Amino acid sequence: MEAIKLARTDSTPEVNFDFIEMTFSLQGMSFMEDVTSFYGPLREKLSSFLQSTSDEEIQFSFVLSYFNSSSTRALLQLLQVLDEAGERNSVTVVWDCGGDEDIAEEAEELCEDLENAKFELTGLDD
Amino acid sequence: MSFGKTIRQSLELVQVDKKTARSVFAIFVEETQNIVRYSKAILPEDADDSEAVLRHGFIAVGSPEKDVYFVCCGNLILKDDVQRLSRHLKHIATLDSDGLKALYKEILKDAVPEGSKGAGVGFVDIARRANGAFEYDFKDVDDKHAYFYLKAYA
Repeated sequence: MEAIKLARTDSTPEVNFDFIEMTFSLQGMSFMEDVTSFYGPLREKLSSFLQSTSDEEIQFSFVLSYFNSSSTRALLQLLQVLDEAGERNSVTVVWDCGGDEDIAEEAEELCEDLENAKFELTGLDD
Repeated sequence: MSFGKTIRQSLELVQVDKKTARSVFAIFVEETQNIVRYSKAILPEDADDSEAVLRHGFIAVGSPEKDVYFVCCGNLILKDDVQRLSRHLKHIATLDSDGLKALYKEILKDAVPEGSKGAGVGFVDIARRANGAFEYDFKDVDDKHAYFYLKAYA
């Protein structure tokens, strides 16, 4: 599957989905007006790709300094896709909070229901 | 949403601490999206409400004293929606931070509520960012419409 690369805008994060290296990332801020049209296609591609994987090392990195409430729902759906893939693969969700404790808290809250995927919080000083 | 950028830059200029700045910005985003999605004040005035129309309302950021910030907004709604909205906000106002967190997650896991164009959690997010410091009011405008006001402190 061809890589997905989207540059960041004022309200949408930078997207890097590398289906060969199996590394995926979202970086920036997320508060677009139409959440479904931004995240829907990304989730579908990720989901259909992951359905055919097993015994792979997969890493998804979040480097988000702000996401609004409707983005939060979309992010939870992405995490659900990753968690399901974690039943057959080694999936790691890395959240870089950039030293910000409030972001760290939000990340932990979002990821607390992951059962199969591993959650790693990075970017805290201590 | 490019005026969101203006707000962010202004807050940097007055050197608000990071947490307050993010709260002001987040409340601003949620309130703006409420107006853009739900305001019943539309242009052109004779347009069908289901069409792509310009929805308008007001939003203002204020600082009544040093280090205190609020974001208030107002828009026209249908009188038929006052009760539902009022009940939702009244319930939110009774919750402490754990209760708000639980409600936030509960709504996010449910399907998108009917008539909702977003996640349906905007007010809960505002209440969390404001640590419960918010007030609201409804004023009758005509036999079909009411004006909805919301003010939240960051």
